[in-house]
Order: sequence, then C-alpha cells, then structure tokens
Amino acid sequence: MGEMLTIAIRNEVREIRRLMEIVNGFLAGKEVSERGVYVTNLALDELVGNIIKYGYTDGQGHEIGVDVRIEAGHVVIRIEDDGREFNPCNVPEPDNTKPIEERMPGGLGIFLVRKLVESLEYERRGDRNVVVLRIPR
Amino acid sequence: MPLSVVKLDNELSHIALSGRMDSVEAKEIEAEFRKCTGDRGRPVLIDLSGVSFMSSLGMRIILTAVRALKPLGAKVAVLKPAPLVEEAMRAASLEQVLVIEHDLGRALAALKSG
Repeated sequence: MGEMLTIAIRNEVREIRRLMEIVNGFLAGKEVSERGVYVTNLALDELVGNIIKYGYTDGQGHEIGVDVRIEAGHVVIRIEDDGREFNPCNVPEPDNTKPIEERMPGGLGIFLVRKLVESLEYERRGDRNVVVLRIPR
Repeated sequence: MPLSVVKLDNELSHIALSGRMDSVEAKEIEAEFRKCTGDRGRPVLIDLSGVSFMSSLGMRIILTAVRALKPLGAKVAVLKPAPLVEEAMRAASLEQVLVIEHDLGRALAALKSG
C-alpha cells in the first residue's frame, strides 16, 4: 500500500487552486515524473472543474472528495461527488467531420484526460459519482 | 501579469502568456486575450515559453482567436510551448488549426504564408 492523500473541497471554482497546491505539495519528493505531475494536474483541473461547474443545480454547498495514492508504477486518483450522474467515459469523441475549431467548445477537457491517462473508470454508487484514474508515475 | 503585449501593429498581434493557464487563470485573461488577438483581425503570434501548464479552457481561449481570424484568412501561431504543454495541445489536435513552432523566424514565415 502506497502513500495516500485525502482531501475534501467545496464546490467552488477557487477551490481548484487550493486543491492543486495541496496535491502538488504531496507529489513533490515522491519520485513522480514531470509528466505524471502534469497529467495529474490536468485530470484534476478538468474533472473536478467539470463537477463544480456542471454537477450541481441546487445552488447549495457540496463536498467533493479527492484521494491521490502513490503506487509502484502509478499515481491513482479517486474523485467522489454527490452531483448529478455523469460518466466521463461516455462523453463522445469529438466529431472528426467538423473543423476542429467548431467541434471543441464542449468535451475537450474530458477527451484530453481520456487521451493522456492510462485508464479512467467510472461507477455510480448510490447517489454518488466515483471516478478512478491511473496515471503512469 | 499572465498576458503581456509584445507588439500590436497592422501586421501582427504578438503577445506572451505566462504562468499556469488553468481553469481559474485562463478565465481571468479571456477578455483581454480576445481584445489583443481575434478582435484585432491580424495574424496572431502567442509566445507560450513562460506557460507551465494549460488546461482545456486555455486551449479553448486560444481557439477563439483561430475562429475569429479564419474568415479573414489570418492564422494563429504559438511559439515555444514547453514539452508537456505541446504534448497536450497535440493530443487535442490543435496543430490542425494553428502553427506550433519553436523558431520565431519560422513562426513569422508560417503566419505570412497563405
């Protein structure tokens, strides 16, 4: 069992920066490659940002849980939220028949994450979304 | 300042971005970016050498310039992206709609070519 960071943030955009600072502080000195750190930042920015911006419609405060675990060959991220059901694995690939500048407005972030991480798994557990990503260390 | 103007004239809109272009920062510079790029109707050169991280929102903001300039036949080039920023931009296939260059002369030449 590797080292693990557990953090809870509020569903506010400014929390993303606090999350990044804590996660990057945790990753420092853990022998994670520059690319591993970069992709971890990208995945958290895109997926947590997506939950904050689109996951809630009630105007209430919610808590989003993020675990970052260091394994032998991977950084493993687990994100859990109680927002509306959203499976990032089901976001369609961009439509290649359209010019790229027209097809990019939505879904680019999720597409990028799927392309850069090794694996992305989703589970709806009760009223919660649980996403697990594996990023080469 | 994450956005600085290098040169704005009748030939070119040349700006430099720096720092983290994450969801928070990219949103904050969006209006200024549009004013200095797409709204001017000139080819755009964006120095990315000082950018350490770019989210999809940062990329979408750059694409606003591509969209604005396409009907005018003008191009957008990004200069000297860091390796991981470039990898992410290429993963999003941005090289299909803008120039990614590490040499200033070649970037300027690409902006002038039809």
